[in-house]
Parts: sequence; C-alpha cells; structure tokens
Amino acid sequence: MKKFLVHSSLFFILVSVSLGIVLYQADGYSDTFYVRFTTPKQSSLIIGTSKAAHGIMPGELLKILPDDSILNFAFTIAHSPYGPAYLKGIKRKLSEDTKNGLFIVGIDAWSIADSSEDPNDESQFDENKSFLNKLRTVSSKPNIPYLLSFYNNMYIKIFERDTIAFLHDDGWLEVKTDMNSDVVARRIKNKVEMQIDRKKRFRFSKTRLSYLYETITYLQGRGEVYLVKLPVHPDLLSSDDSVVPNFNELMIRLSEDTSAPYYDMTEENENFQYVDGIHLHRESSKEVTKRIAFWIKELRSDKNMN
Amino acid sequence: MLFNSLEFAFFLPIVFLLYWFVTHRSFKQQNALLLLASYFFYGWWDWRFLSLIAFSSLVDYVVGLSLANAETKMKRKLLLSLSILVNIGFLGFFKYFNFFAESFAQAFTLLGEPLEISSLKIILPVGISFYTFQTLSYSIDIYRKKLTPTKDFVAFFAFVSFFPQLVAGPIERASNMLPQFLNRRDFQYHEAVNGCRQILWGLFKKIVIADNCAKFVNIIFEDPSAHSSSTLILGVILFSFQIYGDFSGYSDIAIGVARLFGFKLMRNFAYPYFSRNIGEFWRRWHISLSTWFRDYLYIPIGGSRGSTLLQIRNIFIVFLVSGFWHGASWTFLCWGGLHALFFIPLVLMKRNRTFLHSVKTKWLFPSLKEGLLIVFTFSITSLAWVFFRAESVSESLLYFQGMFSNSILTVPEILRDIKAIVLVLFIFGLVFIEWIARDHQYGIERITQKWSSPLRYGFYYGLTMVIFMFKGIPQDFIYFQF
Repeated sequence: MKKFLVHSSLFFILVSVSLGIVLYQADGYSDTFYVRFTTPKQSSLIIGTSKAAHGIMPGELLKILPDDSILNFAFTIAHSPYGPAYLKGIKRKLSEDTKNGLFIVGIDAWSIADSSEDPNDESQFDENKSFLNKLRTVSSKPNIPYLLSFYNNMYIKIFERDTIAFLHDDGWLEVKTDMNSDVVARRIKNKVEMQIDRKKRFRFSKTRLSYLYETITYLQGRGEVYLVKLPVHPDLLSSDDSVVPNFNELMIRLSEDTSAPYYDMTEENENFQYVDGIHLHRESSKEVTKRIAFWIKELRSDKNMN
Repeated sequence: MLFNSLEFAFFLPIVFLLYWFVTHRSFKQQNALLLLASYFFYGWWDWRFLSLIAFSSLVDYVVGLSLANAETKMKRKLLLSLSILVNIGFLGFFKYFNFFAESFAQAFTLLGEPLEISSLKIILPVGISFYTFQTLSYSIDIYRKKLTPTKDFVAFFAFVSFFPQLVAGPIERASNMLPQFLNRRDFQYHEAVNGCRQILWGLFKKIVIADNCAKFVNIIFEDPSAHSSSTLILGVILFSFQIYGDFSGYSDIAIGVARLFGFKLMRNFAYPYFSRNIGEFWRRWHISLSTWFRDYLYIPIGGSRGSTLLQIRNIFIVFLVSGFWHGASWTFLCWGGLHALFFIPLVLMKRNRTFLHSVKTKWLFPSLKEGLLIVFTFSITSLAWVFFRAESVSESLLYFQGMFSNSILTVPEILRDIKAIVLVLFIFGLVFIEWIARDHQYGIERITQKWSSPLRYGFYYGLTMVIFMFKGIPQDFIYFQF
C-alpha cells in the first residue's frame, strides 16, 4: 500500500505541476471570456452582450474619461442576457467597497427575450448552467476553477496564437477578420437569415426585463449608470427590435423610471462598419466608444453646472 | 456524479483512503462504507431516486430469502413473479410509459379515431435498466436454484448499488459479485496499478476519442441534408468510435475503479470492431448485456434448439427486446431488427459459432480474408448505428439516402478542420494500440508490460497529458440515458 500511495502521489504531483504550468499560459487568445475572470475585482463595468463586448473599448474610454478605469464585462446573448445569473456574476465581479463606479449598460431586445418554453420562468434560463452563475472565483490568475470546469476548448489551444479573436486585459474583444466588402455582405446576409430563424424561437421575457431593472437599480447604488443601445446594421435593425414589441418605448420608460440616461445609437447606424451586421469593426468600435465617452462627459458637466 | 468530473476526482481518493485505512479491519465495515459511498454517488445526481434503488433492492432481498424457504412450486413462482413485476413495473413506468401511450394514440389516429393521451413528464432515473437487470438475475438464479440467497442485508444492498458499475454496468451477476462482498478483500499492489492503468485507458477513450467525435457527429446528424455523402459516411464512422469510446471507456473506468477496492468485475468489451462476423461482434460488444439476454431470454425461449425457423424467431425476439432495452423508440427497435437480419445468414449457414477466438496474435496484420471480414462487419454494424443515433426512423432513412449520392467520392468537408484530422489520427492510434493488445483485457495492458519502470511511467505521464491537452467538450455518457 505504501508503495502504491508513494507512486500515485508522485505521479499526481508531477501531472498537477505540468497542468498548472500549461494553465498558467492561458490568456486572451485562449478563449473569449477567460481574461475577464483573471483581473482584480472592479469598481466600473461595461455590461451587455457580444455587441458591447466588441463595441465598447475601455482603453478609448479612459482617454476621454481618465478617472474611470473600467472593465468590459459583457459576454454573449447565450451567457449574459439580463437575468439572475448575470446579476450574480456582476455582483461577484464588483469590489465590495465600490461607491462611485461607472456602469455602461448595453441594451438590446435579445437580452430581454428568451427561447425557453416559458420565457418568464427563470429556472428554465439556459445561462443558469454557465460560469456567470456557477463560477465563484472571478479574479485569480490563473483561474483554475474556470479552466477546469468551464473552458470549452482543448487545452492545447492555450498555446495557439493564430486566432481571429483576442480578448484584451481590459475585457475588450477584438476580432481580426477579412473585411472585404463581398465577404462582409455575405456575413450580413447570413446573419439576417439567422436572426429571422432565431426570432421564431425567442419571445419577450417580463422576468428578464425585471432583472434589467434590478441590475440597474443595484448598480445605481454603486455609482452612475448609463444605458446605451449600440448601433446595428440597418438590415438587422427591424428584426432586432421586433423581438420585443414596442422595444424603444419600453427602453425610454425604463430610462425615465430609473433616471438612468439613455443613448440610442441606432439613429447613427449608417456611420459605422460592421463585421457581420451585429458586431462592430474595431475602427467603428473606437468611434462608438468615443461618442459614448463624450456623451457621458457632457452629461457629467451638465450635472455639475446644475 | 460522472467519472470524468472534478467531483469524482475528489470522491474516489476519499472513499479509497477510508476503505483501506479506516474500515480495513472488517469486510462488513467496508461493505457499509461502499453502500454509503454508492448512495452518495447516486444521490449526487438526484437523491429522490435513491428510494427506488433501495426499494428494488429490498424487494429482491426479501424475495430471495423467501424463495429459499418456499416449499411449493406455486409459491416459488408467485415470489419470482413478484420480483419481475416490481422490477419490470418500475422500468416500464419510468422508461416506456410515454412510448406506449403515444404509440397507442398514433395507432388510433391512423385508424381514423383520433385519441388524445397526454404524456407524463417522467424523469428517467439514471441506470435503472442496469440495476433492474442485476437484481432480476439474482431472483431468477435463486428460483433456478443456481444461487443461495444471502442474509447479509448490507452486502446485498452494496452489491446492487456498487458505485463503479451502478449507472452503466457491467450488469453483474450475483454469482460473481456477492461472494466478493462476503469475503475479505486484501489490497494488492499489482491489482491497484492495473486498475489505475485501465482507468487511464478508459479516460482516454471517453475524453479524447468519444467527446471529440461527439462534436463532429452532432454537427453532421443535426442536418444531414447539408452535408456530402462522404461527410455522412465519415459521420457514421465517427459515431461508431464515439459510442465505442464512450461505453467501453466507461466500462474500463468502472472495472479499474472496482479493482482499486479489490473487486473483479466482468469484462464488458473485447475489441468488438475486430470481429469477423456479427456473431463474433455480439460476443464482444456489451458482453454483460448479451450474456444476460442469452441466459434469461434466448435459452429459455428455445435458443438454438428446434428448427431453423424457430431459431430465427428466437434471434429476432432477443434483438428486438435488446433494442427496446436501449430506449423506448422505434429507432432502437429498427437497430435491433437490423442486427437480427444480419444474423440470419449465419444461422442459415450454421456459422454463428465460428470465430470464438481473436485473430492470431503472433502476426501484426490479419490475413487478407480476415481483414476483409473485419472491414465488412465494421461496415454493417456502423450502418446500423445510424438508427441508434438518429432522432427518428424518417431521419435515419434520410441519412441513408444522403450517404449514397454523387458526392461520395469528395473529400469530407469536416476534414478541413485541423481538429478533425487530429481526431482521425487519435482514432488510428486507438485502433493500433487495441489491435496489438487484442488478446489482453484492455488496450494498454500489454504495451507497457515489458518496459522499464521510467519508460512505463513516462508513457502514463504522456497519456495523461494527452487526455488533458486534447479533451473534448464534456458530454454525458451515452449509456446513462438507458
């Protein structure tokens, strides 16, 4: 028995050390979420779905709002629609002593819709199984619990550098892809078809809307909240908004009810370049971020003058 | 709790240490620990169904003791019927109720009398088909006077719920397992090392082969019409390796874990894809279930006795029941029926008992004839897997239709993905290792035997790192649903 225990323990230690070395190499190339769980707890966050993950660059915000170091904590429609899981994830990522944070809340109709049988039954939400609900360790590097339980790639990918997507340390998701006009047009066409198909399955969720309210109210207790509806390619605007009837009116009312300023950027849709119709190209992300930063700056100076 | 989960990685060493260091003085204490650990293992998935295992065990425990004391044939028959009724009743309710209700309603609708029967939202308890068959065989063997019932309540309950094989087999016989529970187990270094080695090989088959195959198989079966013939053919081959890696991997882990506790479980797979005809395949695939059906169904209904027609009838009954055991769906019945059809030529030519041994092991390659027979048997079993994997019979037929079109000679489009090529290389590696180990219990039992210690540990280390580095997206074990 002694021999067995010694041999198996040595083997276990050797494997654990080797695996630890491998996992320590994980970075922004490894997957499109990991880095966000390796940074320290934050006092300012950008939240939303993949539109916000691609579209708002913390580094650009910082140039205009130098006192607001912020982390992009937006994921995807599958992981971070508004609901109990995302709110739990946000609470975990925020440092306990946050009082004067900045929170940019990306809103779109998909993030308050759901495809389950009963869209108002939160126990049926898919993201309940995701890391936002289950991961307790949100700021350690390497983040072993994330890598062991939620990393959905082969670990060999940790050594891969030639990837389309790169997640920056500030949480911004950069996508380097072919922007040839024919290719982009084809991607937009595919996205339109995909959204039409998706629309058949998704319905407005009152529960998700109430969680959006709750998220905003919670964040207002920790600082300033700004609501932003990010631009989308004109071909996708109608399908995007029609998932939730009267979406725009609903958002205006939300802004009034919570007193959170609301910036609807879809009026400027034509001014930007899109990778696939939904996600902004990085030059446009830069421009969109600047506009958001100046809007916040202006609102703040108005507030100070009053 | 899954064998390839983090929870199990903590659970196993804790139970192992308690077993050999705290309860080692008495096998009764060890049995009690195993019983507790097994109920904890099962309860981790859903504690509500623990009562079902406990009740099923209790019924067969009592029936077993009563059978030993029953003097009249009538009383014995009644007791056996009670055991069958309870076990098959549970299985029928949880697994087949909705299937029969829906099929009944469909039949009436086809006859022009639309009937609405609402199906129930029934959760299928994991492993119910496995432990039910295990407890049934106990009562039947006592009824046949082939086994003496045990009075040791804890040993019997631990035998039924023994966690390594509780949820997906091998389906053990009491005659093999109970004596092990009723005798002292001593720790043996070589058995423990052998167990670890078998666990490692099982994990490789499950995590690297099956889980990675699943990714591509899911894409291909999701929409067969979107893929070329060659891709569909590759999809079927990948599914053949997925289900083999998944289930034989599970069995290897189960047998390996049992070895760590001093138990010997029966072999469940013996390199089935190296079979030279369908008869040999069924002597090598899911052996514990095939032999269960042989002993408790095929032989009692006549087996190979009687006319050729009767033999064919018996084979159809066994394969259809076997298909139905896998799931309450017409696809599984088709799968079973197809295998019965494959069997008929062997019965007619009286060749179903040929190839009782492996292809000669002194040569690296099989003879041309053997090679062709192996490829042919693999091909027909792979074709039958289409029914096993598809969601419906119509989907299976569409899949078959798509497999034979002009695009059959094109390069499968999924091979443009480097991960698919890496996976194919791993499959070749698996086939090669298992081929050279074909007269051994499991793949890597042989290849490390004559190596020096550093080389052997280097190999285990390398294999462990391969499992980590090339793990697929974790999937549930396929046979959990049965």
